[in-house]
Amino acid sequence: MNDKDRVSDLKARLPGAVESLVEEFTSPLMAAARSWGLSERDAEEAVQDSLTDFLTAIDRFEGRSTLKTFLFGVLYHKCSERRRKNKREQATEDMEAAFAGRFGSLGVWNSLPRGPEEEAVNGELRAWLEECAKGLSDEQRSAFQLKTVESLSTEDSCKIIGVSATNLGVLMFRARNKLRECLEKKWINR
Amino acid sequence: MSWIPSCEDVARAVSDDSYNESPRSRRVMLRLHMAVCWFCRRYAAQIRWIDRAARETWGAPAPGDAEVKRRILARLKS
Repeated sequence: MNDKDRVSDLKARLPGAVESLVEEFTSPLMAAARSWGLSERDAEEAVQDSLTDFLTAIDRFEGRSTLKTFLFGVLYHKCSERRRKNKREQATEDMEAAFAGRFGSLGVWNSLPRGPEEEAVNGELRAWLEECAKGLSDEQRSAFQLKTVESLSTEDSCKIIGVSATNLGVLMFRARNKLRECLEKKWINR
Repeated sequence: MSWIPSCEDVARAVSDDSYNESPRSRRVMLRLHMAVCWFCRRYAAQIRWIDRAARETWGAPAPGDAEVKRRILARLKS
């Protein structure tokens, strides 16, 4: 169902409209709230509050952004209020230095980057990924979740997190390289 | 950043998503580099794996989501 039809059904209070909204958006919103550091209970509350806010204001929703972007924006705001600010922030210089240290003076690799490439995502690798994701800051995790997992555009992701496109690029670069460096260590020592 | 991209330039463009937003001439140079650089191809494959693994891990509904939906719906309709 497209956004226009869904919103007009909700505005008309058609039977099944709220059910359809909850069915489609609960899982992705819950996944994002969990990834942004909320406990299961807090995530459920934040998702519930986001949907309630949206439904309360449905008559004023003009569709300037897509429904998905709007809901993720409200949720991001709710999650930011709930989570302890920057509790996972780490010295980002460490990652920058680790990345720069991989290359010689001409920008050529010093050693072969290693890690999973074609492997199926099995239980062990999934556990590694979960563990490595704990090293990301809240902003890096949020950017990565929106752009990679939810496949939102750069423009929509920037709008939700409130950063410029350049800053989003930096967040994505740091998120992916932190994950890759961490996975590489586990891969070598497996 | 010089006209001919280094391995470091390629690795940055792959991981910060700037590859798709680069001018066509730059993308051609990045692709040419990748075609002849096994190390950069390996790096790009690892970044693609991370993206795929993340979608499979954090993009799929969690086992308890059906129950969460039921509770949220009940509260929204009360």
